Amino acid sequence: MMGQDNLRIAIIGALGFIVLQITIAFYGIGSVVATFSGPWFIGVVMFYVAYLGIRRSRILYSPIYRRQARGIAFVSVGASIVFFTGAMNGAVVLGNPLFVLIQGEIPWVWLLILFYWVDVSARAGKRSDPIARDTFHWQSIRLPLWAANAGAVVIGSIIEGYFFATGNITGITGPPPSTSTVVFILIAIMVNLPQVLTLGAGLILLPIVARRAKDGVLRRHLVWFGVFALVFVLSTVTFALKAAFLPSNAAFCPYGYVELAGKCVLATIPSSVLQVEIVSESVVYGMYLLAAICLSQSVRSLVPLTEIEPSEGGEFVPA
Amino acid sequence: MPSTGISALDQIIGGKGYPDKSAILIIGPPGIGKEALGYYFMKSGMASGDFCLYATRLPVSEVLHDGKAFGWDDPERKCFWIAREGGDSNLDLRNLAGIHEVLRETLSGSKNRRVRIVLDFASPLLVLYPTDIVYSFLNQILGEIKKHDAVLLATVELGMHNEQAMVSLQTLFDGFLEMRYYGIGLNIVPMLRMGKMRGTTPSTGYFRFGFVNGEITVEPAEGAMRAEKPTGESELLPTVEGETEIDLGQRTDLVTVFNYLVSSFIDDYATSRYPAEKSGWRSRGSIIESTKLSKASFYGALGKYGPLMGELMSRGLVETCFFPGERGRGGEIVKLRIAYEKASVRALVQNSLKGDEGK
Repeated sequence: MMGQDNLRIAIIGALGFIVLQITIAFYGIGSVVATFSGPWFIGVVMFYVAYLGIRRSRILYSPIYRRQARGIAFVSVGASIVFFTGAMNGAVVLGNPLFVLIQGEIPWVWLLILFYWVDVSARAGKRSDPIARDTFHWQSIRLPLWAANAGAVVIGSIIEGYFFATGNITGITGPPPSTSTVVFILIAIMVNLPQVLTLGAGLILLPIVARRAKDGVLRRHLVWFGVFALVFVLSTVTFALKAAFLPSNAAFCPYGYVELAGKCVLATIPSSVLQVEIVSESVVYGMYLLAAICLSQSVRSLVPLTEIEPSEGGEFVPA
Repeated sequence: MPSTGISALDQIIGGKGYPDKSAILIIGPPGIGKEALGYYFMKSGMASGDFCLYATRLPVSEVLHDGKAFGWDDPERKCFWIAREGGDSNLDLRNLAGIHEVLRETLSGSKNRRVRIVLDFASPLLVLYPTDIVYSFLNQILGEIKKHDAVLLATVELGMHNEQAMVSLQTLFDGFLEMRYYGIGLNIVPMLRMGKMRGTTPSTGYFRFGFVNGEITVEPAEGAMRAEKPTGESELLPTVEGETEIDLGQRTDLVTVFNYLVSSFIDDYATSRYPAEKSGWRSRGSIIESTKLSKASFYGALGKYGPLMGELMSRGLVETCFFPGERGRGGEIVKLRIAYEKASVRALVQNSLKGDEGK
């Protein structure tokens, strides 16, 4: 059953799709307005998912499960900010270096939030395991990992600020003039540590946690989040592929190197195959929307509902 | 009777708390607050000087950390802990005999004090062992409870075990309390209901509950959702003099359904010898199949009732009930039967029964 929440998300998404098509039709693909409209609607949808997470966290009375719902809410808020700033960057404040700097920081903070969710989920999984196995000694290593992750984000921000101050606002895509290659590699490792830690922990730890946990609620939650992560990554790669063809749209891309990878892949594909620009824009939009729906399913699955509604006779009946 | 630690819950159960020498099962999905009922139970027990025993698959520190959010703590370790870590005795789920022995010895050493036990590892046991072994183990534990002045509260996860295991546990325990999340329109409402409670007459129906600043609130659900009647009332309700006429008007479909439900009740009660509270319940599917009426009469759009069903309900001719163990269209199955508590309907049934006896 789709559920009222997903129906609302689908309605907002459909509205966004229509607006996107209208703006493309009137202003052209890659125009400021068209670039603004798609991510903005995805941002709204993500914000709604955050609302669902907060709402559910308020009725989950066990602290660990409450933190999981809050984790999803924070992840959704982070995602919506990524989309909003992406839209703003592409449409309103294009080229403003300070804004680019702030936008560059947001994904790292978002990764920290994701790490929070991974941490809470791992602990919830341990609780759901009948013999309470501590997968990969997570209880022991989580605090050092937290310190490394947060430290990397702070150091990464300082490095980003340094690049900004020295006029190289593109950050990790290339070393600033005064930096040696070895130092740049070290900096790149430091900057990428949050991704490695968060995605590594998520990809390696959580599948095992899900398998060990015998709690169907937690399993469904993790599976839906996994689907969200997969669709989101695919959406971003697709976006990068699209951006490679439409440089004017490249303003919104949280991961510059994904775009580079996309370009490498594209080099092997005949350009005529992917020339349908409007379709590619719509496909990317649809994929991000699908990712948002998966995230919504993930948070909804934390609170298994028995659907009922008041009947004419004043009693509650199953819907 | 030991208080639950929640005055509103005491009232729902019958006024004083859980029955003496009883074992109560709390069923609910993860995170809904099953353990919180255990914390309140322990808190109340420690305040009244009872011997409190907490048997948990978690480390003591984790339980106390959660308990603090509900206003329960045990800094002086007044409670006896059987826990995976940090307890007075270690819990090893792979050694059921050992757990039984520790519980038996601890109960023997309670020195005639009333004992309160909270046990949170019923679900892991059901995952690790076949149902019959868990049943046998719990049966032994419950046997110890009966020998002492003890009350046990056990929690079990909803949606984690098969139906057979859940039914077995519900049969084994003296009472059970079910907690669920219900979606009512746009709202999510946590509700609880009393499944059964030995020796008491608990309030039927569903109760909203919530935790605010460590305090629990329990209040009857708006709309008075009907629950199954408590077991133990197998006698027919007494005949009430007065209104006995039932006006079904000219609608033949209404008459058909009502007559079918009356005969179903009589079949169950008089022929199959079901207790009155269990008699006459039929799903909409079986009514449609037997009466050959259209589905649209019973099922409306968007999960609402159809016009005929609505008419039966608005006239007060039928009552509805959820059957949690069974699944229907998009949710738990709802069954209906004649509104047996209504004097005119009851009189009609009893007249029919007398008529059958006369034959």
